[in-house]
Amino acid sequence: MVTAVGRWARLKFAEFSEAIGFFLFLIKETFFFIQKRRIGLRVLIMQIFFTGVEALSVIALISLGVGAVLIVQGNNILPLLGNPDLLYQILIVVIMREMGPLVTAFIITARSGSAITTELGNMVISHEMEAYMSVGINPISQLGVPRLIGVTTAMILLNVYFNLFGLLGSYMVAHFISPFPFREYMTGLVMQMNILDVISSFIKSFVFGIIIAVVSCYHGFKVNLAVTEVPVRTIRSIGTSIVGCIIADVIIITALR
Amino acid sequence: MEQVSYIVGRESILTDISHVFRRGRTTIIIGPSGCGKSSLLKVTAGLYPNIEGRVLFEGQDVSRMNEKEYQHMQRRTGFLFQDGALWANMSLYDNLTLPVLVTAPHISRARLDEIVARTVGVMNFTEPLDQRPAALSAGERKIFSFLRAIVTDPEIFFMDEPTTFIDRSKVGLLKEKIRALKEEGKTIVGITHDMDFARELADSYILLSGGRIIAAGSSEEIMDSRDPVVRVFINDFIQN
Repeated sequence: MVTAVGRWARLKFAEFSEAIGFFLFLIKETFFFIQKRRIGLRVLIMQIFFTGVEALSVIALISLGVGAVLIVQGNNILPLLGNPDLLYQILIVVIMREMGPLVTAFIITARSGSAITTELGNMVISHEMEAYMSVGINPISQLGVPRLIGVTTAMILLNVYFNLFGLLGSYMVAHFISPFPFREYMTGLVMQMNILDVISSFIKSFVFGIIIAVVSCYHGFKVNLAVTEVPVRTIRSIGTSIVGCIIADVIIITALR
Repeated sequence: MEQVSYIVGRESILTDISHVFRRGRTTIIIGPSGCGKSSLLKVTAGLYPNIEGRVLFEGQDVSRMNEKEYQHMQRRTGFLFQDGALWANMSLYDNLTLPVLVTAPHISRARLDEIVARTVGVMNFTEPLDQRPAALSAGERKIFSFLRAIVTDPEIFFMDEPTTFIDRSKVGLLKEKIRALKEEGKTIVGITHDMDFARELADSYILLSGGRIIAAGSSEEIMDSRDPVVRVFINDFIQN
């Protein structure tokens, strides 16, 4: 029993060390990306397009829904509690600081993270990685770095988009349900917003983007020989990304409290 | 290579392999299916970094090479993969030009087009180059993989079953081009089940079984061997 636990712990530690090594290598390569690789630029543009542009409609729908519900419910409940201005603070904390980065991260994990793991895993199976090595290209640099930059950039932009739709777009939805002066809404929002809200939202989206990209790439590259490994790795990559983002969220919240 | 072993999970694919590949010679690896021929070829080409033992390229340990040294080594080699291994997300044009761009990142478009035209001409390849590899048949992909392997005019050519999937009309031309590579003095390391072609090309053989080298030597040494295990191999693979 003790031996088995010891072996399991050793295996997990080795896997963790390998993942950290992969992460550090990817970060190092990212710094050299622009000067070294004009051939990877197309992958980067495609990644931003796939992760960012194609997720716009889903993000818009969710952020509008969340924002509208908060405004309608807040307008009904908060005046009863004698503090109607609390609505703006709730909107900022829920949409900008918490749900914006997290919901965007979950959507990107489900759509793009899983796609990255599957694509890279299939490339391993079809020996495309070996083909890269055979022409002197490190596949991690060639394929991993554009995905890291692309997913992180798209994550930051989509988070801004989520916030805009959540805070402004949802006003319009709520306005149809229960009319509400826009000027008053905007003034209240701006008065309650501080720089820490913006920084917190940015840091979270940046960190979540890195987590999703690194985890998805790592699991894709870890596929070894069989096609059956691909779905297994994809499921693991989704789970690890979500858990990683939640842990990072808690750490960032604690640090910026 | 010195005492090379390659293990995947708990399975030993190659065990204690030591061999010297000579410059300008053609070495053919022979053995039953699943004996580790493709793995040995890829280990030799430096494509599997996680091995035990050492693979030396001109005296330098491949696993200890820095990125530049590794790139420099790979630019001097070309690899024809068994299943083509073309980059599925790129056009055929990009598949062919990427190895050139790695070697010469600032090459002009006109020069690139010239190299592409010359290379596709080698195999009379006439398919449009703006399409993806998925649009090609298995045989065409294999031919294109050959073109990608030779586009940078490498000194060392690795080939994994070069003639499989290719229809008869093209096999003759492909063999002719590989013969030409040999005549140009290229170093060739390959696997083929086409024994007539193997006999024609081989300066030396490696006989592989169960991930171990059973025998290795020049064609004459192997053919004249009185070792009963080698004789069985010759009867089963080389002379059949």
